[in-house]
Amino acid sequence: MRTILHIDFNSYFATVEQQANPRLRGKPVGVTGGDRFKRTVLGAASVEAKKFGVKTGMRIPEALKLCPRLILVKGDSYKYLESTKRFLNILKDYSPYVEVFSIDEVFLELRNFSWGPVRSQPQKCPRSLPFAAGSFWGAPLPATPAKNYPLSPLETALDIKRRISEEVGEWVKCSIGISYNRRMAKLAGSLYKPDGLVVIADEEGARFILDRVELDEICGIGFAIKKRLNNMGVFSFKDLRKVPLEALLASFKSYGKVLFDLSRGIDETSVLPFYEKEEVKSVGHRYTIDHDTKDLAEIKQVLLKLVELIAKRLRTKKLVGKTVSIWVRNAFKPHLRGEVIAKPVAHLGGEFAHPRGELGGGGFQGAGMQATIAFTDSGMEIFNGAWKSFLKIWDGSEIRMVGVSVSNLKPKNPENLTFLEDKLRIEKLTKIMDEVNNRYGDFTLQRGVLLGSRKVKRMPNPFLADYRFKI
Amino acid sequence: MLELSESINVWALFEKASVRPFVFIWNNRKIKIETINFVHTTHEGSALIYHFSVSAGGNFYKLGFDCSNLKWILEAVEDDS
Repeated sequence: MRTILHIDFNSYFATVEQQANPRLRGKPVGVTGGDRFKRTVLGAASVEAKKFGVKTGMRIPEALKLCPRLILVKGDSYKYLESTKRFLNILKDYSPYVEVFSIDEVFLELRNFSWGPVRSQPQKCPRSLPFAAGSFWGAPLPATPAKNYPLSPLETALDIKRRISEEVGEWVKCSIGISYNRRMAKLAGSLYKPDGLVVIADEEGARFILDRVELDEICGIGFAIKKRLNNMGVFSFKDLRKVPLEALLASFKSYGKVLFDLSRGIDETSVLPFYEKEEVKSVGHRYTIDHDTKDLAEIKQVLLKLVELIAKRLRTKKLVGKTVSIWVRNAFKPHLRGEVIAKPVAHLGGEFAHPRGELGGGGFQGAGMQATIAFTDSGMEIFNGAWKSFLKIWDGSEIRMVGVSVSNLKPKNPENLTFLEDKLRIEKLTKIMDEVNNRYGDFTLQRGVLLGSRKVKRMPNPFLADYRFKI
Repeated sequence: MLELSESINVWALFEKASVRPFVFIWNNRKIKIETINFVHTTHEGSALIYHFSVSAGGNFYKLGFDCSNLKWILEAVEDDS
């Protein structure tokens, strides 16, 4: 039987900031983005800020309204990456099967464990759930270590918590869920925060928990699926278990089987070790400008800078791509009374509404488009594709954010040397620019058109899209 | 928090593969570091830079150490003033 630990840091970015600066400890802290921190949304809220109702993703004026004493801290992704690296270094001492789910969430699989008979003493009940006599949830796993692992799963979890405190920082806390599969481990880890430790030992224990949580509290059921289930008359996992597999397959196609299994606490997906992570599917960047703008020259500069960063990453990875996606987000627009809020459509566009916004409700209008170009890793070719799309989707209004990505990637094959002088010159120039920029920093050498443009710095995203940990 | 980029003199211990600042001189004051709360690194091109988040006398300081030129920079200060 598998034993999986889900380790989730609590209010990660805010906690790391509090670890670095003890003057922030015990105070409501909101982590936000870079130099534009007055215009972006909160990337994280500390445990203290959450008590005021401040949430991740909230607009700053909205958060300050809820908590006027909120301390805004400029986020530093490299600090959080360092913390994650140290944490992964700890985990690799327990098992090689470590899956980095995001910058603050990891699955750890312990193999060769025999669970044996589960001791049935109850633990503290998270979120005041009634403890069902005889159920196994919350019971510690037996201490039956295999030869390779000196500690039982529960001891392992306690040891990980101790080492995080010692090696990452005493203020950094995590919640750990232990179970027999990934989804149940993640559910267990989400039940009690901060600094929780919950075990769901078997399917009976899983069903006990599932019957007491909302459908969308489990990884795999989001807003849209929950709504579709509600439309079918399914409002709980108990209801979901009553739906025949055939009916779920008819409504959700192959995902019906996932839902069928989910409601029973079944999940066959395995932990994907970080060193076997899937290949990169797209490379992209986005940038929130520090003011709303409709100045085409300024937008062009920002877009070209983003594209240059993308192209350099493609060249580093020896990849070429042919699908260029661009999306823009317009300036914040308050809703008028009675105005219908459009549903968000895809990551490429739609409207992002904040119904309780500072101005009594409003949102960000956005638009996006994809274009297909010849396979390339050239900044200028990607830019040309992106710019044509931008001009098609831009309605002339002020924008606050622009993003671009390149997908449909394939490895760059060695090419014959070109006899075209211009092409050869560009290739040589690009190679030299990359060498200089790798040595002295991005945009040390850049196109003349970018001189005097705003500073754009590459920061890793929290989902670590193409980041590889070397531990 | 006040963000700076001020070159400073730091008394530091280089041992094995690590570096540890213990005193720095700023505004003609000798400041003894009490705790190193967090250390992380960044790259500026190929230059490796260590950032030390430290506490001294109830104040917070962020020191940067550029491995390429062995220079120390005071990057941020948060005190009661």
